[in-house]
Amino acid sequence: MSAADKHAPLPKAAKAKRPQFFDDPGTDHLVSMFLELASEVWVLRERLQALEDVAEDKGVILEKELEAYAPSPERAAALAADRQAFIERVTFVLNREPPESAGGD
Amino acid sequence: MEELIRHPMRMRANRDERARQNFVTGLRAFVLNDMATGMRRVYEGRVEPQFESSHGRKPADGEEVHQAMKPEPYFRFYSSMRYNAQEMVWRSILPILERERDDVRDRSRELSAEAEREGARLELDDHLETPRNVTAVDVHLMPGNYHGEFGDGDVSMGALYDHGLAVFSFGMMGSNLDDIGRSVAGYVKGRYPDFQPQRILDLGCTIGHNTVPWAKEYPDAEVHAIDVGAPGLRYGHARARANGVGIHFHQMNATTLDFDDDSFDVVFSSMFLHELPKKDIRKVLAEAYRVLRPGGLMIHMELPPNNQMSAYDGFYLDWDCWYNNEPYYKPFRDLDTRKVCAEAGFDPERYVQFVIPSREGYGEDTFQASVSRDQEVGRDTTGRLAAGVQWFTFGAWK
Repeated sequence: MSAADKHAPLPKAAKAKRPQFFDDPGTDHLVSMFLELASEVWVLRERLQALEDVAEDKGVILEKELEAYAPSPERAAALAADRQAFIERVTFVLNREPPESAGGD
Repeated sequence: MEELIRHPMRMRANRDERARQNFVTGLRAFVLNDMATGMRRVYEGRVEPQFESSHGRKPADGEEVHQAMKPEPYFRFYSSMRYNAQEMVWRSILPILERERDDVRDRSRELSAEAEREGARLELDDHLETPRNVTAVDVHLMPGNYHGEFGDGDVSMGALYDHGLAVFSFGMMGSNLDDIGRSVAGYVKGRYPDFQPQRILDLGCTIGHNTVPWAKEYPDAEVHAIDVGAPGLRYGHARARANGVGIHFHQMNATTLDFDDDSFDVVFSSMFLHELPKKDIRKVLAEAYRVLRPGGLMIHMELPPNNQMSAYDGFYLDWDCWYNNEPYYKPFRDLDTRKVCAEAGFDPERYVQFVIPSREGYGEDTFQASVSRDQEVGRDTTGRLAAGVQWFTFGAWK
């Protein structure tokens, strides 16, 4: 029954006026994108390390296997969708909803 | 995979989501420890000497330091990275919350019902008006803020705050986010061993994460916690049960408490007063005085006041006021804490102020050894999340 309880979507951004720290607002946006990108790179590195550790535990030498690997069509399509979501996250700041009302200053 | 939250209200993150949270936590630790140290060097090495040579004196207060720092690239990168990290904290939780919110709500209901059966009440007041200081801005840039309701019996904002705080605080608030409560309650117990409170009240408790340790430190006491935000109270009621204690949660405004005169032995708050306009701070302190029994203790964990720190330290702490949607942060820190307690009715002779080392951060031995020793505000780790954090507290005996 609880799944039938109504709910509204959660807000994605805070009610706040985003401060500008640099003379050119583009620089502020670049910092945001840089940090999102760095975050995604880190996510990959954690995943890769886990992958290598699990594979090694199972006796698979990954380097050789990876060179010979080709994705299936399903995998390739899924990767393409993931890639778009990735780009959206990295460029989040450009698509951020405009603040509803100016809080802060 | 190491869990972000250690109690049963946790949401299940996948590996990538957990890695994203790890990154944000690491980024915040880097900005607030390493970059904060670098920024101080820039100030002391160049900005302050330049100010001195052009003005014939050092900057008088935090605002003058702020103006002198604004053109500095280091300050700009520190600020923009810190601001982005703050936004990323919430974004590292939101997709998980969207997916898990029904499940969290159901678990919260179950735990809450168990708590009720065991005698711990949850009293919500649909007619309570949410004060303007809460509705005006999303404090800490948390989308939806503490009071946001997005469905029937919603606990989303409670879950968002609990998990977000764990990403945000890089361990500095304790592994169960309860270090402030554990440190203050443990300090009071150690310093005043004959003081045995029977009724304890926590004001502006949000999800009750710092109320829980009071119930653990004083297991015979009846513990109450209030807040204006229903989602946090629902979540907090369940969270307290998940942490093995029963606490009574009430939706109530701290400026007009619905409790009898002389009915509590301890009135506590943590990181609460600086969210209020000055007129409300005065009302809260007067209410604390009213509900305390003679011989009771009011004790607030707060940011250290500006009049007890250097211009640079004032600038550093006031960053939140300028850039983190904390409009009342600086006005609070400009108050004279002893004076406002006296104005609320407390005897100035019975004012107390403690700088308490983080119990988890320093370890139990160092913590217990500190109980009998007074420390002054001044170390640059007081009241800020950094390695070696110390909690500033003030209050008074009635």
